[in-house]
Amino acid sequence: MLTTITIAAFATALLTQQPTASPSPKIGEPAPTFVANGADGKTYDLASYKGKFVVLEWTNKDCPFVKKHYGSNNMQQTQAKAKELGAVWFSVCSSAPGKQGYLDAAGFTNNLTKVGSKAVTVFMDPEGKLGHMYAAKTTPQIAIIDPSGKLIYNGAVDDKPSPNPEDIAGAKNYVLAALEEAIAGKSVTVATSRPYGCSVKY
Amino acid sequence: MVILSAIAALVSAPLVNARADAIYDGKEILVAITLDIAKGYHIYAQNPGDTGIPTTVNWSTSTGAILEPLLWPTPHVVDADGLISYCFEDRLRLFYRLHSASKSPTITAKVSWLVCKESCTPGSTSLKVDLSKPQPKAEFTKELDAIPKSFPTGVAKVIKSGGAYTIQISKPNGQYSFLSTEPNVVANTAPVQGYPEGDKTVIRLEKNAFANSQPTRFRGILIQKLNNKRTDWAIDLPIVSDS
Repeated sequence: MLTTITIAAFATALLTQQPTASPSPKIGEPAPTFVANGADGKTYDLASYKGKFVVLEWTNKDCPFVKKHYGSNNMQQTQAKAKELGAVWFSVCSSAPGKQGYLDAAGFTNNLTKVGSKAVTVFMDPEGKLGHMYAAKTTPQIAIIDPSGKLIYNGAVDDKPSPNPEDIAGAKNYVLAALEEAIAGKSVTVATSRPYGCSVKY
Repeated sequence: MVILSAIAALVSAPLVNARADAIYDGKEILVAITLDIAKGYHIYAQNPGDTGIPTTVNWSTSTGAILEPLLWPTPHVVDADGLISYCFEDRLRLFYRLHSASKSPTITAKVSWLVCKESCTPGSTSLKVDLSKPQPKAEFTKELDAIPKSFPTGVAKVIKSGGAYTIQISKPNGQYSFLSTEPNVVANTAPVQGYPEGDKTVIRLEKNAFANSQPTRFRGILIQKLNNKRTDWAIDLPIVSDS
């Protein structure tokens, strides 16, 4: 639900604010643990992926920014390269029932096939629990967990915040850069970036 | 037939109507970019907040012509299930001061936006500015007056300490709150209100969790409330480290 806070109203309504503890997971710290329901009917426990890189990609098939990356094949190519590098890739949909991007299990599975996704499956997160745990704000948004279970990246797919597929050619792919650096034993140069796209439809 | 035509017009009505106007007041030429937004929809500010992308205006001009941007108006805060975005609804009007040696430069604006309600649609258009028919400034007074004013120098400073920023306002006069106009610097929230600390007002702002650079300047809007009068002030200050 959209709420517009008019500045005139807020001035009287707001209490003095102090910085609140950020709910965002911290880079370099243990990633939030979860057991997720896949659209393939299986359950997936993050703990069982110790020893592997795990990529979580928030998605909404009707979002123009998701369409940019899938329509251009950029997301599928990134997924394939990540897989070559040994990562396990899951898509996540945190759209609430009735909101844009929400599908049932069969719908998610059919869409994976339709777009040629290389993700293992889609985690169905209709209550938004996984999304909130990882501070997912937009579709797409990417989180990467390293083999020790630490969060090493959370942010945008790349550095060109636009819906234009033509911008992909000159963009720096943050996801592959993070994976390649981490696999080489280096610290990730860009470990966070402002995710861009549609709001997650919680 | 009439009803069908009306329905067709509604169906095909663009979500954003854009136009460019030249304004001449006898002293200087301003160019106004006006974006009229369909009811219930919004487009995004320079700092779009948690979601969306900024509205942009890119100029193509003949040699020697420069469009100097004036400050943007203060955006509205849109809260979509806890995700905070900084947006404009109904209308966004942006102003540029024309500097040109030529009396008739060629000027075209490429305007791009993302317009959203429950879902989002990107849009863009090219607008040629017709300088031969300037509009009277009076027609734009409301929006020109809404542009934030520059905050007096030497009154505020910004201190960075660990994961937070503090704005200190000396000799405060009324209540102050703050909105960042710079993406990815501070956490996206409704405007954060200041509180008294000694003879100052301080506003504490949490660092944005997705920040990946070390800004050297701090830009945003200080909203002052004094005797039920609101004034929006623009600040653009160097960031001082407390270490």
